[in-house]
Amino acid sequence: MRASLIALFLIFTAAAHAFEAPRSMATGTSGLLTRALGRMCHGFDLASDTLPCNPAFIAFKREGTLRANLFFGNNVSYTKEASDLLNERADEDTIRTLFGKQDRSEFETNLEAGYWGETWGVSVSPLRVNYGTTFRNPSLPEISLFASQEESLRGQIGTYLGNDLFIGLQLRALHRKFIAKQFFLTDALANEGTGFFEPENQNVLYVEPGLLYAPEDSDWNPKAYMSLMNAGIASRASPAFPSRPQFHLGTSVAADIGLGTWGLGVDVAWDNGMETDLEPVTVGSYYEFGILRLLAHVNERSNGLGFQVSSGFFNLGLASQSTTFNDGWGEKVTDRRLYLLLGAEI
Amino acid sequence: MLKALLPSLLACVLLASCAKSEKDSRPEDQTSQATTHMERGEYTEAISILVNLQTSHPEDPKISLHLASAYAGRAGLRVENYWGFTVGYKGLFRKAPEPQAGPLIDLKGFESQAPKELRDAVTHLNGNLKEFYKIRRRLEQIPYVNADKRQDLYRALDAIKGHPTAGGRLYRSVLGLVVARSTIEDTASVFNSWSKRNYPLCDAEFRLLVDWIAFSAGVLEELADDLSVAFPKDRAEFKRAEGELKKVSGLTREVNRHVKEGAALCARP
Amino acid sequence: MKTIFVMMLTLLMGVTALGKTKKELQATDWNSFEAAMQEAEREDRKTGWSYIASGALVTIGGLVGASSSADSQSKLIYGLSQGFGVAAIGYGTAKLSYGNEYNSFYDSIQGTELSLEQKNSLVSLYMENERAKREMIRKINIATHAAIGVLNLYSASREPDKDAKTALQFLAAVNFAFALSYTF
Repeated sequence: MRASLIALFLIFTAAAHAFEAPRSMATGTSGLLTRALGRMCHGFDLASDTLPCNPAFIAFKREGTLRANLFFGNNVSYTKEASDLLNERADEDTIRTLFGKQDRSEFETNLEAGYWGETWGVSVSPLRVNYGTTFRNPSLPEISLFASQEESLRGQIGTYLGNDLFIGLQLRALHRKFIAKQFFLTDALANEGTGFFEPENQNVLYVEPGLLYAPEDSDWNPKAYMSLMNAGIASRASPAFPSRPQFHLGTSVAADIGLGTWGLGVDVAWDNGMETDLEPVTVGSYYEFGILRLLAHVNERSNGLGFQVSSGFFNLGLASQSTTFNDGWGEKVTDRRLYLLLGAEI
Repeated sequence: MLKALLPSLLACVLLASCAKSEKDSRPEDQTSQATTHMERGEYTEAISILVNLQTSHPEDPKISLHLASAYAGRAGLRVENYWGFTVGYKGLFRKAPEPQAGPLIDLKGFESQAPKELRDAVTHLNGNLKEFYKIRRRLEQIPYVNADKRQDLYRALDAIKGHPTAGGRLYRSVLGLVVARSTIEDTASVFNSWSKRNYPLCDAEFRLLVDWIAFSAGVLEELADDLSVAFPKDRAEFKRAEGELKKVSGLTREVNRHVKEGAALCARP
Repeated sequence: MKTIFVMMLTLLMGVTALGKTKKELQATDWNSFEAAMQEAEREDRKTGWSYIASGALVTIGGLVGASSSADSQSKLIYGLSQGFGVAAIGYGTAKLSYGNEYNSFYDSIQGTELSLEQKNSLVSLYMENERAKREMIRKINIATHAAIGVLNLYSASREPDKDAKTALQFLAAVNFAFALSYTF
């Protein structure tokens, strides 16, 4: 009887309709590696974003590095308007600027600084803005809007366990202000939009462990890893940002080839929001030599390509990512977006 | 254990299939279907779905708004046609310098023909058309929809009459403006043709002219009411404009009465 | 957003101007110094060619990207990349021609007929002077980053715009963190 009730509950909850933020907004952080390598950033020991995607890599490096990055999508001219919307400063001009094109738009911005030491690391992001709108019905546009502004603090700690095993743990605390709303265009214009967009607040604490096996006696530097991301406790539940812990399992190799280093890996990810069997698999690769690092990844729902140019003092990069996502009305939409990075490093 | 679970499993399978078919017939899913038709330009199919949906969910304001947009879409109205004036057209009813335009019906042509009561009514009407003239100049920015497609706009207006949301009333006012603008343009063409023939009073064109002015005033009256709901902060201003337009409607009804009496005279051998 | 962008560029310029402390060679006598230099020379050759190749690729890619790109931010990245690329070609060429900062001293000593004890003595003196020089550079970097951080804080205190204020406070924190990192 109890089993039947549980089964019934699962069926009804599975059939329930939920308005959920796009995955790129709801998960992890924003950075060049996460866009160019996708989920494969968990499998490589690459110094690009302030801290490694997989906290088990925190104990890999032998010297400390301080890094500050500005990462942004190429549609950032609306950042001020999105920020005004989230901070209840929106007026008629804000609405006009944000919805004037009646076309799908998206951008993200992340400002972050971090220190990556020998066995620990910390990073702070005082500003991460995500914004996305989709439109339907050319006669009277109906808009699906996601906007969020986050402030976060991340700490990683790791150690070598012996027998080529590394373990790491990331604690991530964030405060999120967000709007997730579906409405008609005229709803936003009526009454000058005042009081229509009321942001919600959420505080979340994530606990994200990682494990890495990296035997040293091979020229190909093979690695196998496991990690758990987005496992957290929120101050209040929200259908826009549900708790979706994501489990990663993967392997990678990296070898000196020619003038540089080539890396290749496969990541298999699972969370309770995945719909197909193939989508969890991501293949990623990089080649770095001199000042240049080339990055790429592919999976069924996204693919990305990017480069990073680094002089050791500062670095800059560009990544292009194509993603298929839910437009808020159950329809799948594919978009290609461009992301840029400016960073300084000591 | 398995035997005990079997009835539950069967129930789950049945419920899952019920859930699936239930999902297909949920109002939001049917609305999604209709919107997909609209995205493809298949407005008639969308209207068919939404009319049925409105019949079964008459109180749902979203469905009526989707239906109105489907009618408007079939009439050729897209957001890019009205976005430009929608964002700033609160100024439509704002106070403006007195226009220099002449009266709508030039009395010079009337004096020799019209009875005194009719002349007085038209003079009174011309004097009260200030709001009308203010709107008419601004209406030139608004798209024109020809008469054969205008029926769909009337249906759209009907579908969301008295809509409970500010956004719905704003959209209705947009549709009303398009109807008013299109009617006024047709009125102006008819007036030009009528004035070239020296203003014959015993003429179908004159009666059509008065009917159209009355109709336009009625539409603009409703529009002012819709805007007073869409922008509650400016309610007093829109209510004032509605009052002025009510006077125009009243006067056109008086002119119409005189015209009908005149028509009876014109019909006598 | 523009403000944040300009501030980050300023931070990049500042970091570049201050420079990064180069990797220190560990040696106490002539034999260990010679061994380390031979290893360094192998690394320098590889580094030199990789910088030249990658610099050429980045320069060409930057030129192609800038001409085919539509938006201004991408054009800026491509434009900056071209500068990086040319600088990398120059750096790679210098690496191949002159090696690292110790090469001049190494080549001078190697070509002489000094005894081993004399060479050891010179190496010891040279490394001591190098350490003193690095220590001075480190102190200058600490003071400079700290001063920039104070300036950023002052600007933040006078800034009315909330986002720009946050960005200035962020830059101040980054510069103080840089200053602190030089103390390790």
